[in-house]
Amino acid sequence: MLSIKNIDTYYGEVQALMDVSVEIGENEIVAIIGSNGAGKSTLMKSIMGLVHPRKGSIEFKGETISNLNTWDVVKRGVIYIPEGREVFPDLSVLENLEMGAYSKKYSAKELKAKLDMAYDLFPRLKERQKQKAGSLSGGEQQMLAIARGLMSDPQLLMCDEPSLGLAPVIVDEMFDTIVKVNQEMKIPIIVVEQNAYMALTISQKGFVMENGRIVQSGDSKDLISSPDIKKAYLGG
Amino acid sequence: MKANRKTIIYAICLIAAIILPLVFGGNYFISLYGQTLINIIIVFGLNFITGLTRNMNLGTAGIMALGAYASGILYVKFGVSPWLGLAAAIVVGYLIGKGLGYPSLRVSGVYLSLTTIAFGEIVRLILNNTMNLTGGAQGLSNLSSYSIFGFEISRGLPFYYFLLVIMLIMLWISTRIVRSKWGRAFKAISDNPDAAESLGIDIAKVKVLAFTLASIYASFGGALYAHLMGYINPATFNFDMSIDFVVMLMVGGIGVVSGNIIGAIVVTMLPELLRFLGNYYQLVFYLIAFIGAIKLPQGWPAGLASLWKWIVKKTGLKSRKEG
Repeated sequence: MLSIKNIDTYYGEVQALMDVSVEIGENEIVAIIGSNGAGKSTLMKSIMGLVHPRKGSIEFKGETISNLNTWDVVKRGVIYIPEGREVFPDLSVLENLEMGAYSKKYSAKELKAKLDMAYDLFPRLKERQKQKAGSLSGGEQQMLAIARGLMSDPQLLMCDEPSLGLAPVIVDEMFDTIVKVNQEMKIPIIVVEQNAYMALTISQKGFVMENGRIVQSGDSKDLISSPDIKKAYLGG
Repeated sequence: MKANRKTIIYAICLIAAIILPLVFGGNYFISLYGQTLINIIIVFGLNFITGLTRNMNLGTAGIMALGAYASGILYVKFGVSPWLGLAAAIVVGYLIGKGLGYPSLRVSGVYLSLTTIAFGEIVRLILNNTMNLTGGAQGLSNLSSYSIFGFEISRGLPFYYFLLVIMLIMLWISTRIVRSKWGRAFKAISDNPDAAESLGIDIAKVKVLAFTLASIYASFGGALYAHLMGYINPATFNFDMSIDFVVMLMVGGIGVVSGNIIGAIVVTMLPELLRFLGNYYQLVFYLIAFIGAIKLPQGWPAGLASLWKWIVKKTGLKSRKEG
């Protein structure tokens, strides 16, 4: 579905990604794990066209997207949920969700159906639809960010650090939701995480990044029991 | 219930607007009310770019001048009807929006302010120095009023009501835009540009759209102004005027359409009410605006509302203590 082949990405003269290749199949959840500065977010930005790789190619459903602008990538159904719960704090919950449908030309009826879908998935957002998004709790904001991503009928969802700064109970809830979205809506999802254990538990495949390279990849089940991974990310 | 109360408030305001010139009349005041209505229209436009997307525009007077002169020159030199002049002003506004928007919105903050100031000044200097076309510093005079089916809308009361109707139409359009996909996008790109971009919003395009709307409104308002006054000269459209529009926006509360109306009224009328202060009126006026900007950054209406809530809360607490 999405195949990233040997990309090199630079910020100015600094090379942030080196020869990175990632493959995502239909309806899969793929985990990309690694510590701070490993290049996880740069990888996301490269896919979204926020930075363009200098070498290599990114293909989505057989079409090269590595030289497209962000809004063109979004139009093709690739939706990125940025880290740090990037909602629009001054807009209401409802307005935030409506912004999610910006790239689509929905009729009023279709928009209503999409909103109902989002509220079904996250009932708490419905209770708070008139409230400003900035006044929501951290977990609710993250849910809003995901719900907003779903508004535009995504073909591929990428969640950047969904557990960042959330309480452990909320983290569990968040990952449950990600699995639910994947199974019920048949959307492939890339989860970028520092919380390696959680990400590997819910995913089928995992890629481990270090210093801008993929250092290990394989089935999540195998990764979770691999001694190297245990040592580096799972605390022994 | 709440909607009902709002409707009643709007109805009262509308009735007040209709009665006002009948009670406090006189040529001078009626012309001033007309200017207030035009200012309201222009602030509706400025609200899109400066209010919602938070990009400073200090060139409004220049844009307004181009609208005014487009309609004025067409009438004086070519005998074109002021109605077509209005249409021409809209085209001019659109062209300025696209033409000035693309290069200038690449910069932001102070640099954008400087670019727009420069634009306003360039326009004024050109108007001053193209004698043949614009009449130079003496300006253009004897601009006729609008006429409907052969009846002229004479200056004074009829013209005031004519402007009131146009203002209400623009109010309706502006409210629709603010609540539309465009309006949300305008707010979104200032609220969180990264998130906006990740949702597939072309930020530059949206900014230019907001700027184009602002310049269409300003140019349109300029054309109305030319035919309201019957006389225009470059000195009117100076930098102070551009600042006044931004002050109107701030006083009314940035981003709020109903606030735009209040801000435009306060800033246009307050100097008149302060005339008894003689030479000091401008000093006092800007002092009030200055204190307002610091103490009531949400705008005066919102500021006064929260002050009222605070008083109610304080007095409410007091009575509970006494009881």
